[in-house]
Amino acid sequence: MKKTKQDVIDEMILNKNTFVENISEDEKKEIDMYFDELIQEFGPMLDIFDKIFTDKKVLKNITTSIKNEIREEKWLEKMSDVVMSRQDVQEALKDLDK
Amino acid sequence: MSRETLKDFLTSNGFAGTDAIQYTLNEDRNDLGVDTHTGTELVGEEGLIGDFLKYVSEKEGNFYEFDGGNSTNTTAGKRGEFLYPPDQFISSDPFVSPGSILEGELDKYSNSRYFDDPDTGTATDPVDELNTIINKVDGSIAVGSAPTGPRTANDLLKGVVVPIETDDPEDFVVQASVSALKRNNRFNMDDEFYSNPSSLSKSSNIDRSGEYVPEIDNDKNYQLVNKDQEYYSSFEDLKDAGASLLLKASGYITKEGPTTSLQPIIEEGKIYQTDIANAEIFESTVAMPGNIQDQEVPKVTAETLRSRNATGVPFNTAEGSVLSNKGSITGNQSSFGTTYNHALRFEDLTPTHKIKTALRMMSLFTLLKSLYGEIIDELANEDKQEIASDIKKIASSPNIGNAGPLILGLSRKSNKFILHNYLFDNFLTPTDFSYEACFYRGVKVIFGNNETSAEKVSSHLHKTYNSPGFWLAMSNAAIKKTFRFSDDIGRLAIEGSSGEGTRDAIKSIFGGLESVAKIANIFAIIGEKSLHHTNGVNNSDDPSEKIRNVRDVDSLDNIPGNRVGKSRKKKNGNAGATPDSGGATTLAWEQSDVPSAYLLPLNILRAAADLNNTYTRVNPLKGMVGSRLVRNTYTGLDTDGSSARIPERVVKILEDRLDSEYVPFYIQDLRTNEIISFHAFLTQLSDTITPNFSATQGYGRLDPVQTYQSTTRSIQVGFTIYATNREDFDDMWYKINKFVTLLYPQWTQGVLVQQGDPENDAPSESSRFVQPFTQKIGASPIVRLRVGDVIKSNYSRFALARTFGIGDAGVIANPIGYGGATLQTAWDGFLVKIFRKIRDFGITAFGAIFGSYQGLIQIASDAVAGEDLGGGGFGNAAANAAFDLAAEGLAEILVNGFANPILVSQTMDRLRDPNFFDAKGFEKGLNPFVYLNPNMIDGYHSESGERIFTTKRVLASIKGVVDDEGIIDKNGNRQFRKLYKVKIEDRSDSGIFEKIVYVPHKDIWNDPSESFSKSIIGLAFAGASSDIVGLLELILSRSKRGGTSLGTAATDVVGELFSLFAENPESTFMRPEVNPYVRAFHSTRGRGLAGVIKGATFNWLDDFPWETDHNARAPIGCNISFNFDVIHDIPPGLDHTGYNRAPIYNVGEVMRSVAGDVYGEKFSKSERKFREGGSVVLSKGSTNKKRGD
Repeated sequence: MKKTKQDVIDEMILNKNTFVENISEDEKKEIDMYFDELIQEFGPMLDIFDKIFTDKKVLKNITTSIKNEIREEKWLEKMSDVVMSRQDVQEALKDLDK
Repeated sequence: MSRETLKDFLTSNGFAGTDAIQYTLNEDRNDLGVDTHTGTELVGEEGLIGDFLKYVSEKEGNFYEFDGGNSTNTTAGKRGEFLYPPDQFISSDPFVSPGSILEGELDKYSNSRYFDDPDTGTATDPVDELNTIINKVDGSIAVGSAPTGPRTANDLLKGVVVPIETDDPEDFVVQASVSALKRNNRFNMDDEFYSNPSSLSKSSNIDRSGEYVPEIDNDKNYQLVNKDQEYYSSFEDLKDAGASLLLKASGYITKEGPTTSLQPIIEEGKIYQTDIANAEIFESTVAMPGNIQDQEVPKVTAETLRSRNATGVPFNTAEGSVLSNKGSITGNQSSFGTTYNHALRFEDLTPTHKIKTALRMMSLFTLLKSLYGEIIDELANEDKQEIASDIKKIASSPNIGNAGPLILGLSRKSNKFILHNYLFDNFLTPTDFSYEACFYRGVKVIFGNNETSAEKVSSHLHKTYNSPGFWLAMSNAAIKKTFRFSDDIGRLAIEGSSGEGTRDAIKSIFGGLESVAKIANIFAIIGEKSLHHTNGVNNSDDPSEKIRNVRDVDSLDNIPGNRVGKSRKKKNGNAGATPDSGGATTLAWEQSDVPSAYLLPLNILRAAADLNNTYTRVNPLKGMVGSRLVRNTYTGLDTDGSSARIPERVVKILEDRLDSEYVPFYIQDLRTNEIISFHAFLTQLSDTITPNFSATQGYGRLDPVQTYQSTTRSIQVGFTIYATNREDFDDMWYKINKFVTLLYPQWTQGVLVQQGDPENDAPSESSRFVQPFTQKIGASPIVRLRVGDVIKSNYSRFALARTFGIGDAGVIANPIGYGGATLQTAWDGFLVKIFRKIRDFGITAFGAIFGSYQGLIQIASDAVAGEDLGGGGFGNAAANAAFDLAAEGLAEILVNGFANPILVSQTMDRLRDPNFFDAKGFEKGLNPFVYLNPNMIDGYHSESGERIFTTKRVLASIKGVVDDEGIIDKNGNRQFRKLYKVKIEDRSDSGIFEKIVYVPHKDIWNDPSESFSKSIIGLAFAGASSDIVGLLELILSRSKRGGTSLGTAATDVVGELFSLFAENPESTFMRPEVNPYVRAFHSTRGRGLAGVIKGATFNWLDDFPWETDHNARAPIGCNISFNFDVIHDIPPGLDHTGYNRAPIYNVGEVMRSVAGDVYGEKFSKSERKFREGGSVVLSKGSTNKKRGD
């Protein structure tokens, strides 16, 4: 199921709640006010996310760009190099040669 | 003037008319060479310079004459020390000798001595202490006035005057130098150099309300310390200047130039009042700087934070500092500043501020994580399609032979895989739990303290709070860095339709990922460590449990079963455990903590009293009762006289306690019933069973005929005993001495000799005593040895009953003369006879229904075996062939070819994992009782959200099977798995009793006894055998182990009394009250294996340190080994029916039912003791693993 802006906010609220369990009511109010401001502050970003979540075309463009990045920047090759340069891998390869 | 002197010098040396010398450095630049005017060496041994120096000093009348010429410094190297002057270049000693006239003169003019003169400041004795002359702090006298008080450094500096007497240009040079010195001296506020007009003073029209004077001359050198103008004239002013810079750095003052007050300038209209004196900002809702201005976290320019822009520095018409043109900075031109300032400090222990920080970080993480999750899911979908398409291509290609590796290799094309791995290889640290869980936990560890009490805060996460600034600065930086992503993410959406724009944004995001990931990684690593401590459980409700480590075995109760599994004793251990001694550092596995019982006969006490040894000299009572040994000492009225023994009941109670030890290891002295127990620190344990045969050679055979004669069994035991403290040491040596008595006999009292009549005659005329050394060997040292459940007695009343033939056809074991109210007496045997008939039939029927059907064929086969079926044996051969055929055919439908499928299915259906078999597993049956495996790794997920960790098996009942979210299979479908919903029925641990937990099949432990009792077979057997007592015990066991509140002792007594009325006569027959054999066995029974110790060895020097106290110079440990020859209670082997008559290894649940316990308890108290306190409950926590994991 696709995530929505509200899902993200709900998760933030869940996280927030774990922090306010043992504080006083006044402090809770203060945190809640701050949290409201925070959500407002993140509003534009949340809207962007919502657009990404809901607009298939945007998401497709993003994944295409990532794939291009993977290809152009040779991520797989770089990771292979890292693995191949490991000493244990080198030793294993030597064993194979034997 | 100098040139004239030089001329005179040269003339006196024969170079008249010459008034100059000139040097030319050689190529090596280390020699001045020869003077070109005189042709003389300048620095040689007869060098001109040395002679000139001598000439000058002599001419000036210098008291100390220089030697002429030059001499080589005899010390090595360029940096060598100079010689003592008289030894090298001065004719006389230039130093002042103590006691000389010169010393007096020197003292007279020495400033130090002069200022030390304690004068009074009167006209005749002027004030002359240094602080009366110079005041570095606060000058109070005007320049030029009489020196009635101390003068400031500035005043003194003004006094430095260079009189201009001539027009000699040299005077101007000196004057210029002095001027430069004064100008650049920070104390100098001379108007000549400091042109700050008087209107700048506090009393003029510039004040802290913000007005400024336009005619400031920017070319003048304004100084920070200016007493005359009263800027920074006091410490308070300097504090204000510092505070203003802090306010700027933390975003509360946004103006770049100097401000005239500390009132922060907030453009949004919010006014923050600062109270410098109390160092706080009030009338404010403390807001993060980023919140002051909309959504932008402003960077503070480096210029803003320079001291010339601090409060108090004069500013010009452009509101810039008057020093704004002085110097420039290079490098970073902006900074994120600081989080706190002088007024807003972290020492405020209200939690809101750090919670806000944490919220911001977590919210940002949630945003990014959600975005990443969407992208990765989409990538996975696309991967799936692309890879599926590729596989089709490969499959349809003619070269299908290579399809396997090609298809496997496609996994490398998964972009999801690459992205994920790339992130974790390059940016994110790999974590044992999910990165997300670790990050959230890390943030909570650092910022998530929910306690309001300052005291608790300081004790909790102490180290974090020691460096709050670091963590806050770091989180601040993380927040600010993340803001840069907002633009890029915005571009993702806005330019999402354009591939190019998206691509740039993606590149930008990955480019900036590293700096954010670094910070996130720190939190994730901290969170990972914390999660390890709680085994991945988030337990956020209870602050005291927050960082509790479930593997903290020392938090387990001090009970026998836990003893050797922990290190230190738990404070205020549970009641019922061995009474503790020692402090918090006492080891839980003290050797003396495992309970022993030592006999202290009254005769010994009497002897001590008779010999007046009560308080001094030998008195065993003193030693045993006055020490920790008191816990292990048995004495009382029943210990008077010869052959004193600890009562059987006490032995049983102690054995029950010992049975709850982690591994019971003890030796019972059957002569006294004393028990010496040890921790099972075993170094050797082997068991040698040797059957002996008599071999007889037979004619025509190579192999002898083996005639069985006997079997001997010998056990070799080695163990270590070790004292953990001094008291333990004393206890240990008593124990070792007791152990040694097991190698020697018990002696008789000896022969009494008497003179006169001691009861009636005077003491001086009569006496009675034992003739010394008339004691004879009275009892052999027979012992019982118990090592875990491996080495123990094979006695059980059941096994003994079988030796009476009970169970065999034709045996009617009635308790003759027994007057109890048993069935046979109450009903005059009528009912008993009926029950016996029913039972005989029932058992037969049970055998027919649940026994092997092969048995029926065998019975039929046996029936015809003796008959002649005709045909000269053909009939019998045909019948046997038919029976064989039937048996083979039957084998196809029987389990393993013989076992009754009804019987097998009754049990096996339950033992099957419901995830793999249609049979319902443990769900099937009558609310079956099972055991849950110990689980200290992940714990069991409870219905109420807790995690329950257990070190022992826990009794529970199955309440059903539920579906739980399982894994996603390769087709993308979620595979639900089945978990048992289980209710914990174990009363031994009140913390978890009656909790509902979800358990996978692998963690369910079948108890054969329970499995049988709660099955159709069990009921069928009980019914068939008319075992009323058995049925009763079933009910009682349910009530005791399950949900009723009946206590242990009460249920036992009720059960026993009921048994008296309802038990079968055979059961009564085997009662010790009726049966002398049983009684005899009981008199010396014990759970240990009977035998004798042969050859014990004590090794004192195996790396054991020695105690060095008086009368204690002995090792604190010892390796002991011994051989043990076994005397079985019941000779092992097969009985006449072919069944194991008395198994010697009573280990495991099956053997528990087969072999039985020495004490024949219906319900094991020792087991209950063993299971007590073996669980840890982490309350109200969510978990990072699925339930049942």
